[in-house]
Amino acid sequence: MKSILITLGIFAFLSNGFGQDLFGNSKEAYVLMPSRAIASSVVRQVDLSPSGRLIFYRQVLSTNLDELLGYDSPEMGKWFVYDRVSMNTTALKFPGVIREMSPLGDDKTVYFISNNGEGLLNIATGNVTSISLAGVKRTYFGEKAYAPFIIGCPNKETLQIYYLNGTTTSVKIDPTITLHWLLSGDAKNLTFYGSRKTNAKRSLFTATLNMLRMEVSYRDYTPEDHGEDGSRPSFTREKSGDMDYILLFNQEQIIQSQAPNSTNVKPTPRPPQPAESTLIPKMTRLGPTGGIVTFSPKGDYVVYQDAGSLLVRDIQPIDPNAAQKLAMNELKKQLLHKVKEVGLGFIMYGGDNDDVFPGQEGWEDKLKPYLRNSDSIRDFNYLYRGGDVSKLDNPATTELGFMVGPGGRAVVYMDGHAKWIPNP
Amino acid sequence: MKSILVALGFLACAFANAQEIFGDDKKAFVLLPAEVISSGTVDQVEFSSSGRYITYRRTEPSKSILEVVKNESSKKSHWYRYDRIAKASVLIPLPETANQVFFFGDEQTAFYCQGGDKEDQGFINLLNGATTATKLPVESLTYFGEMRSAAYLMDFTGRTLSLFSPDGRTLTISVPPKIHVFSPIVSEPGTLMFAAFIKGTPSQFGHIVYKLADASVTFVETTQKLMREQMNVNEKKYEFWFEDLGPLGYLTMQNIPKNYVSELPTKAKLCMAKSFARISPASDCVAYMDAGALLIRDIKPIDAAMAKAAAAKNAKLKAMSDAKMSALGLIICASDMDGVLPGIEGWEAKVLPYTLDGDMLKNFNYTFKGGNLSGIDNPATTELGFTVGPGGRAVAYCDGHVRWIPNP
Repeated sequence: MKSILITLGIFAFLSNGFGQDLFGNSKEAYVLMPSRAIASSVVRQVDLSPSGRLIFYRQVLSTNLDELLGYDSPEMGKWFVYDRVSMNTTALKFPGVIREMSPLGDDKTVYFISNNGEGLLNIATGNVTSISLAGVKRTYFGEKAYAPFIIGCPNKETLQIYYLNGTTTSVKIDPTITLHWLLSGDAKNLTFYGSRKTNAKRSLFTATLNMLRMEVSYRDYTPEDHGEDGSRPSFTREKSGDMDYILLFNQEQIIQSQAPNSTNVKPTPRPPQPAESTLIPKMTRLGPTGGIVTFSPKGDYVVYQDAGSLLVRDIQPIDPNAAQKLAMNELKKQLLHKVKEVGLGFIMYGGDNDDVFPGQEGWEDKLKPYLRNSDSIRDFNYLYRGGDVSKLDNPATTELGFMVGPGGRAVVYMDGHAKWIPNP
Repeated sequence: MKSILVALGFLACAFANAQEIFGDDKKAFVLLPAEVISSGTVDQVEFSSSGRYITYRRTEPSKSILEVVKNESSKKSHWYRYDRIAKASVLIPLPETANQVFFFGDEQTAFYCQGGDKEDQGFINLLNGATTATKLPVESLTYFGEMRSAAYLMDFTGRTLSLFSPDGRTLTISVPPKIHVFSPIVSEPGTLMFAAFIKGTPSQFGHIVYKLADASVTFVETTQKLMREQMNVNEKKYEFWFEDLGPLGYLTMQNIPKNYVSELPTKAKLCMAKSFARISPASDCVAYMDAGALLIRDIKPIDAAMAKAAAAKNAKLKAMSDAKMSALGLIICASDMDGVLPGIEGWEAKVLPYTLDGDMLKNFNYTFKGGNLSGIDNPATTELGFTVGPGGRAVAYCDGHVRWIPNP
């Protein structure tokens, strides 16, 4: 049985703390928005189109326990495509079993490997064009919305472009250079990151393919080539215990891990960074570990799994100063909540002890049984000297104690109310 | 950049946490994959008395990030009812002003109100959406709708106990003098029973029994012990509970003896901590939140021996998949380094950017000492490394394939 009014209280807004969904640093801050459900369990494979508009997934709908506990195979389930613009989901028109797929840059075509071979599938019409990438060592799919083709390296000297209509064009490249990945591109130029090994020394290069003239030009690589054009990943996942977190991508890490020990490119010395003083959390929780986590190519959303279901959360940039303010407010709110809890503990203690509050000596131990979370008293400064509180003149203006926060104090008064007092 | 290798290997491994097995020495359960009920933002969720329906309140998330961060929503929220049999949600057509709703145990009716306001309140029939406006004193009302046939709101003033029923009827019970009513404990079609005591002598416990047929009221004396037992009958008994261990919340078996060592995990990870979860009355389903979205997972009891076998199989599959992912990380790393695999020194740091899973790499024993991948004569039989699993090792070879080798 519950009183209606008590029930009103119990149903206070429950959330997993949107305040914690803010993350970043003093220069870049983001908000992880509430979740949008895409598909129920079990989603086994996910792929995004290069523009991020389309989300392809293979879903296995089964109630068979053995099947759910068993191993996955591409034969199980069906492929669907979710369009983020129209918010519609459609089944992929394909007669066979798709083993692997890679969407191309036009948001219309998918390169697939099926049980009957490989090809390009038009997702709107279901038309298939045959293509063979057999023997192609490296393949670059259209990372850019304006690159609706596949680029391959059948051998060290050749860069081959596979167009959607089945035709191909080849360009000769310097065979001493190994191309690593596509750095940036537009309709006219595609720039690759590559390296050359000479006399046990490795130097890093960029190779730019002019799409109109079909010519390749080279120049030395500089760390700036990692580009701010959105081609680099913005975010990454970090696993800690049973929890996945997301945080800003650390570019240095990947460059360092790939840079050979001997290189003639000296990284530009960076000015020493002052220690960051920001309240914005570095990372934010995404959910229990184990499922797929994929960031959109433009870094504007994250696709992730919750127990086999597929969900999307938008990631929106926020002005770091505004984020700093919000993080500070959140911290203030938490501190006020904590001091209020301690204050309530004192009042309950008083209630059990004829309104006599504990003295300064050993008050922590006396109070602990009255607190849900005894961690709260660690940073609590208890100001009252102890004694009978029933005859206090102004309990509402007499400070019981406080906790120090950013730019002020969270003060709790003898009547149990709490207030934020900014530093003078 | 996406090489074919990445496309082939890295996306194919999503089954790991779709289901979890947990239990103790007597019972075992499998927490099945999640079904999506609603996108964000859902903020209130309840199972109906039989567990068939899940009622929830949903607000469209604001497009303004400032509003989202401040947890504000300017838009109106709506109540929905999800039917677990039909697998569909239906909007409950409540009046615009209603901001509180109480669902009754009959699964057909609800009471809505706007805070303590006497206006804008009434009963709603959930089957046809028909509403009956009321003017009840919300502040003194008590709700005991969770009992199946107790579709009543109760108001106890003076010596009169008023019961307001969704069909518009009001039952009035005159409580004998000196008797204080404090909780309804039985609600059957013909009989209502309340726990009570005689005023001034709190040790004198009893029941008030109200027969609907002849409106008779009787007071039956009882002992505190008996009354407590009677009240406990109505307490729901769950097999497990929602344990908030921060940063995650778990479904945990009830009454695990201390120092108990089980072959099965006694808890299954469910969702982020400070989120919330509701277990269905029959303990066969759990509803929980994920960043504002509402999901449910069915919980099926399974044979304990089968569970142990499945748990071992899961651990084996995980070891195989971890070994494969680690090996692919190494191979892709090598292909970015002119085909040279990293040496044993600091290999984890070099491969980490390709797998982003440090724990997995830590568990991988990299036995190949580095060198040129293309110089290997038989990559399919040359061991790259292994991950230890239950009763064996998942061995990854230089061509990326993985085999399970049982311990001798």
